[in-house]
Amino acid sequence: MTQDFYRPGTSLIHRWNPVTTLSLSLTLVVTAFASQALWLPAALLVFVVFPAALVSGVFRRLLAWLARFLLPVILLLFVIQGLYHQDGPLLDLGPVGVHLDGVLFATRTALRLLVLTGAFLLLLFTTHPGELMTALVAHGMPPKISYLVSATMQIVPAFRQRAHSILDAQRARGLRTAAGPIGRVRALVPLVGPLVLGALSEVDERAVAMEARAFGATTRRTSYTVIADSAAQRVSRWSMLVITIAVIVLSATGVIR
Amino acid sequence: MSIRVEGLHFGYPDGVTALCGVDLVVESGERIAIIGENGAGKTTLVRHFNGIMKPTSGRVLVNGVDTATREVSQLAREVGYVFQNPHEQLFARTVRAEVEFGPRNLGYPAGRRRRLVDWALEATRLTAHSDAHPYELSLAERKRVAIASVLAMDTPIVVLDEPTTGQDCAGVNDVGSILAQLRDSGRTVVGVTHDMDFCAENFDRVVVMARGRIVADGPTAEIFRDDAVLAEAAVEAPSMTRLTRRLGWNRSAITVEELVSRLDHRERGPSDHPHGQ
Repeated sequence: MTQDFYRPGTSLIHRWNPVTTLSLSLTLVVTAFASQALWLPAALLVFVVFPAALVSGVFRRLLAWLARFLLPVILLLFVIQGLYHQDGPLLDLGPVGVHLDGVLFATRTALRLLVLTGAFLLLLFTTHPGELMTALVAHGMPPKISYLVSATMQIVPAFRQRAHSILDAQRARGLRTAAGPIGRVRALVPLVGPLVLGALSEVDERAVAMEARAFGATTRRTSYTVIADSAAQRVSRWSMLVITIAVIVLSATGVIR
Repeated sequence: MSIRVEGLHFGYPDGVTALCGVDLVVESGERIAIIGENGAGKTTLVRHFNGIMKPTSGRVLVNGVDTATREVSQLAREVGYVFQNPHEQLFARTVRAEVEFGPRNLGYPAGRRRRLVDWALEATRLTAHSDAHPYELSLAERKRVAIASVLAMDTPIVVLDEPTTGQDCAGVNDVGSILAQLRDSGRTVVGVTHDMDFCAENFDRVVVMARGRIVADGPTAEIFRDDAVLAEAAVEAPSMTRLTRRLGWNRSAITVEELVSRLDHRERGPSDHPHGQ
């Protein structure tokens, strides 16, 4: 599934340095959560997340994914928070009533979740995971962390592919996989065995191969793929950092609520 | 036990067409090799023989039965398939248990199972390792465990995908003698291979594939003398063929045995000189 998020594109945001997009996402999330005001996350959504999605041509996919991820959560939020709350009802429906502070809380949480998920979907849709990792390493993130993330993302499709081949191989040896619950459990051993053994021996080989290519070296490394960056983007990243810190400080000191 | 392929097309879900119109008949008892460069569709084709892959269009009949109507585990009774990578199947604690897995799945009685496992281990020179854990063995030995585990299923058709890769000389000879045993017991053998010397020495008929089609199909000796076909399929002729061609023989030899016997003829009498003078 991780592989399905990113699709190549030529829009401005696609061409951004991944760290710029990541900064934007983080700034959006921090800002959305900093204030109790409803208009702030709503404005971020309408004036930043949606236009950015339109510009990069992922707007429809963004809406579809937001609906898929958040619609059930948001509906549940409104039902629970709207109906069961302390204060007097806004709308009396006999045994239950709709409460104003509950609706407000639900709306605020829903908007924040929309910004949070929208901002990160935007990042995932427009940024190649490998490039993001390369860019982060170029900005001083330890390569081990980058490896951890990349390997985890790569291992899912590889594992699925391998599980498929093993299933084929064992069925070709007469293994029946659809013969009741007990049969299924028994069929697991010949399927999981090669998967786990294979993964273990691969870890070993991988470690040797990586060590042979100086993965553990402590010198500062250069990057084979140079990811484009610009002065404007650097400035905007610093500005976003300043905004984020300012928002956190202002929120913590109670200036914005 | 024959295999009949009719108008077989196969496309992967990602849109890559692997086979575009393959017709092939493999008669009972034949030993047939499928050769061609990587991506020619060899493995995709033989994976249709035991139903792991089902045609996008066209039909594959094993002993008259359409594979599309059968489960892989049902076809396992007719077609044994040795996968290229033994690591995709080894799971048991001992070599013996691994080899017994197939016959057990097929429901063979204990006595027959024991005989088959003993024979398969013997044929693959693994009797001494029967109590070892498969992962204690070398890669070449593990590959032979995979071969033994299919031999023990006693199927009338045996498909071997790259059986000689990673094998040393003795291992290659073992695979050769296994093929001879399979032929002597009347079984149909289909091999996918990149090893042209092995192919020349062990198969009677060669099917050449390129770009998802069969570009040539005939007796081994004829196929390896057809330069145009070999060039189209991007495969190299067996080393004896290349040697005798370099020596300027009119009719090149295919195997070491053929080369030696024809040299013997030369020694004995110039009347049998290959140049025919």
